[in-house]
Amino acid sequence: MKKLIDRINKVKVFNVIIVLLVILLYIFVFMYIYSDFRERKREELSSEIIKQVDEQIEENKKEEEPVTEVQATYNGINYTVIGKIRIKKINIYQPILKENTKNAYNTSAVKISGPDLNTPGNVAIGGHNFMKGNFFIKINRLVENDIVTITDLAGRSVDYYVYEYGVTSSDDPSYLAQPDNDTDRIVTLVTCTKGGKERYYVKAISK
Amino acid sequence: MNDSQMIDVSEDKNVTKKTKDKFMMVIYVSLVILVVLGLVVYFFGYDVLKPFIKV
Repeated sequence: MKKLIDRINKVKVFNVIIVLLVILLYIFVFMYIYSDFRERKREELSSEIIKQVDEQIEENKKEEEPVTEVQATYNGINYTVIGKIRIKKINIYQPILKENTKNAYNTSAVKISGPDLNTPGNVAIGGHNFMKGNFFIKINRLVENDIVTITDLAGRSVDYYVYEYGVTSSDDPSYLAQPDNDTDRIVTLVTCTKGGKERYYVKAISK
Repeated sequence: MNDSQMIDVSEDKNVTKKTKDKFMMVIYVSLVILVVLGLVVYFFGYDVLKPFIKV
């Protein structure tokens, strides 16, 4: 009888573990789906903003004094767009937002610091590393001489060639430093790694 | 051990086996529901759930 009770207890523990595993599987599947839907919505949002950027670029071609910023509203949130970034190798095509806010980072790439786009100096552009490991974390696939194209609202597209990349601490802002001369045009792409403790950066220069 | 005790044990085993079968059936059904529900939501649920997704 005691053996039977022991066996029943073992079976109960086994059953509880199976039930927990099934519940965890449900949670995992629906978190994956939610993350995928969130990324789809973010992509839609970015595409809408890029359409507005392209319209502004076309209008700027007719104007003598081109507009350098365009206001885009999506889901009731206002964004100031200053250009767009394209990295063909990792399939990134995003507007560059001026706002350095959480909502802006959740939407697209954001200008962190530096001069105007496509002018001499070091422009830092940041983006989120989302749950699925997509979006800007893909910059860790870039190697030397890969091309990053920045288009400003005047319609000027400049190709930047990767020359340096690496990981640094979140307290080390040295990758944001301006060049020693007044001619180099540099773009620094930045994203978080290890839950925000470190920064992955890629530096590219126009030739 | 006499005959009556042997019969008792046999019944317990049957009851345990039936309970286990029923439990495993519930687990299999919930896994099938997970797969079906997951596929339906993944392929057809985006437009319905879009207003509730926060970016």
